[in-house]
Amino acid sequence: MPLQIILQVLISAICTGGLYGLFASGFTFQRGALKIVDVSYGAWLMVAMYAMYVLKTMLGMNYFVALVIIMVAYYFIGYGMRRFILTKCASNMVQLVATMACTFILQNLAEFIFKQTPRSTGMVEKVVVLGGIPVSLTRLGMFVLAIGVLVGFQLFLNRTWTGKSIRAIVQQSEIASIMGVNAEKTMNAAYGASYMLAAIAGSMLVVFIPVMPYSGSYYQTLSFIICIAAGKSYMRGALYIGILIGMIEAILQFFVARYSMPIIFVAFVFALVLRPDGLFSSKKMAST
Amino acid sequence: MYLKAVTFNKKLIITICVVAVMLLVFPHIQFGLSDYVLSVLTQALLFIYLANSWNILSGFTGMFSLGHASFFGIGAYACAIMTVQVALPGLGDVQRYMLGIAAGIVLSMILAFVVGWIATKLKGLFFAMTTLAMAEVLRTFSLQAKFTNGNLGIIIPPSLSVGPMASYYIILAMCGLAFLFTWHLKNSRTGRMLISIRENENLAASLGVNVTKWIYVSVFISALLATLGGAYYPLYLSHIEPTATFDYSITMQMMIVCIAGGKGSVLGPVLGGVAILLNEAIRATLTKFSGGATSYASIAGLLYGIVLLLIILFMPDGLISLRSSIRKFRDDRRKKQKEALAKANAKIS
Repeated sequence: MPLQIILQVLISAICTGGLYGLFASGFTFQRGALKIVDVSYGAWLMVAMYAMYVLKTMLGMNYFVALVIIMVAYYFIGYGMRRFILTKCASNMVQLVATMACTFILQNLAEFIFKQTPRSTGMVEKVVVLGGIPVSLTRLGMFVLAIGVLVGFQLFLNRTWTGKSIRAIVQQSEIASIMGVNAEKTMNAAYGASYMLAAIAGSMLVVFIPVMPYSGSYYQTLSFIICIAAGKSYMRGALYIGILIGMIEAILQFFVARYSMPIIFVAFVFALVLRPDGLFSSKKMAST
Repeated sequence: MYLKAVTFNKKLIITICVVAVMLLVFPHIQFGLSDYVLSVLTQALLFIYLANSWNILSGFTGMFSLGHASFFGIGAYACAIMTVQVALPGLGDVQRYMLGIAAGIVLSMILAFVVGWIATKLKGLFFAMTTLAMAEVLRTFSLQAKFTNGNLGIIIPPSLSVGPMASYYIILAMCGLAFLFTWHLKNSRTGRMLISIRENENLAASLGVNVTKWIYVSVFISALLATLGGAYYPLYLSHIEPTATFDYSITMQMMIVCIAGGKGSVLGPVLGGVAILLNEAIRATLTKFSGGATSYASIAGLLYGIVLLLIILFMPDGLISLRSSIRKFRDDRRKKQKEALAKANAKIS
C-alpha cells in the first residue's frame, strides 16, 4: 500500500476525529461538571444534522447563518432539557431512562419526517494537493473550527463571569449561592452551552457524513467511549481521545472492516475495567 | 428487627388469583377478541418474564444493567445454532434443542461470571455502560460471524414450533414461576442481602454481608432467568436474528416494563406489562385509522415515547406507587372533611 494513501486516510481520520472530540467534550462537560447523564445527546446531534440539512439544502441558506440559527436554538433546547426534564429526575439512573425516552421520541420523529433515506448537504469538498497528497480543505477548515470552538469554550469557562460562576457552583454550590450566583439559572445556561457544542459538531458532521434517523445512537456510543476514556471532567482529553478514536476507526476499517466495531467495544470494556477514571488519570477506582 | 419486605393483603391476593385464572382460560374463551390479542399477550408475558430477570439484578441489587439482551440472545442463539447449524447425527430436533438450552446456560454463566467480576469493580453508570458495550460486542459479532448466519439470521425448523396456544401457556407458566420465585426471593434472607447491597454497600459490608458473593449470586440468578427466556424465543418465533435478540431495544423493553411498573418490587414487572399492551394498542389503532399507511409505525413509537417520558417524570416509582398515592389522596380528603365538620360543629356550638 502506498504511503500517500495511508497519509490521506490518516489526515481525513484526524479531521473527523476532531469533530468526534468536539461533541464528546460537550458530553464530558455534562457528565463531569454538571453531573448529568443525558443519553439523548446523540439524538440531538442527529437532529442538528437534519436541521443543517433542512436549512442549507432545502432552504438554501448560507452555511454560517444556518449555523448561528441552530446554535441559538440549541442553547434554548439545552436550557429547557435541564429545566423541565433532567432536574425533575431523582437520580442519575432515572435521568438515563428519561433521556432514553427522549431519544426514542426524537428518532421516531426523524423517521416520520425524513424516512430512512440517508441525507447529506451535498456540498462539494474543496481539495488541494499538498506534496502529492490530496487534502480536503473543507475537512481541514472544520477541524480548525472545532479546535477553535473548544479553545473558545475553555476561555469562556476560565475568563468570563458566567464561566467562573459555573465552575464555582461545580466546586461548592452553597458557597457560590451565598456569593450571589443563581445556581439553577447558571447551571441551565451551562447546559445550554454544552448543547451548543452538539449543534456545531452536528452541523459540521453532516457536510461529509450522511445522516439517518438512527445514526444518533452511534455518536452517542462514541461520546460515551470518549468521555470515559478521557476521564469525566477533562475536556481537552476528550479532544485527544476523539482524534485517537477517529484514527483507530479509520485504520480498523481499512484492515478488518468486518470486526471494527467489536474490536473498539472490547478495547473500551478493557480500558474501563483497568482504568476506570480515564486513561490520563492515575486513580485506580471509579467514582460515580 | 424483622423486616417485612413485601406486604400482601387479602384483597391483593384475590386480585392476583382472579387475573391468573383469567389469563389461564383466555385462549379458550377469548372474550370475543381476535387471535392478534393472544399474540400480543404472549409478547407482553415474555417481556414481563424478562423484566423480572432484569429486576433481580437492577431492582434488587441496584446494579443497573444495560446489557441484559446479551443473556437473552445467548439463550436464543445457542438453541438455534444447536438445532440448525451443528451437525449432530442421530439426534432429533427436540433433543438438539434441549442440548442447546444446556449450552446456552453454560455460555451465559461464563458471561455472567465476567459481568459479576465487572460489577464488583465498577458501579452505577460505569457498570451500565460496560454491560451495554458487552451487548454491542455480541450484536456486532453475531452480525458478522459465519455460524450465526449474519444479519439473515437462523430459521428454526417447523418441527420445533408449538403453535400459538402452547407457546402462550409455556410463557404463562414461566412467568408465574418467575413471579413466585421473585416473591420468595424478596422475602428470603438472600433477597434482603441483595437489597442491603443496593441501599448501602459499605454499611452492608460492615455488617458482615459478603458483598462480592451476593453480587455474583444476583448476576447468576438474573442471567439464568434471561437465558431461559431466550431459550423460549425459538419456540415463539421461527426466526432468530441479531436485531431481535442482542439489540439494545430488547434491553430497553425490559427496562421500560420494569420501571413503568415499579423497579425493585415484586408486582412491578407484572404491572409494567401494561406498557407493552399500550404500545400494541397505539400501533393497532393507528393502523386502523391511517388505513395501513407506512408512517404509522414511527408515530406509534413517538406516542409511546411521550407516554413513557410522562410516566418516568410524574410517577418515578412506577405504576405500583399509584396505589399508595390514591390511598394517600383519599386519606387526605377524609381528614379535610373531618376538620371541616369539626369546624362547623364548633361554630354551631
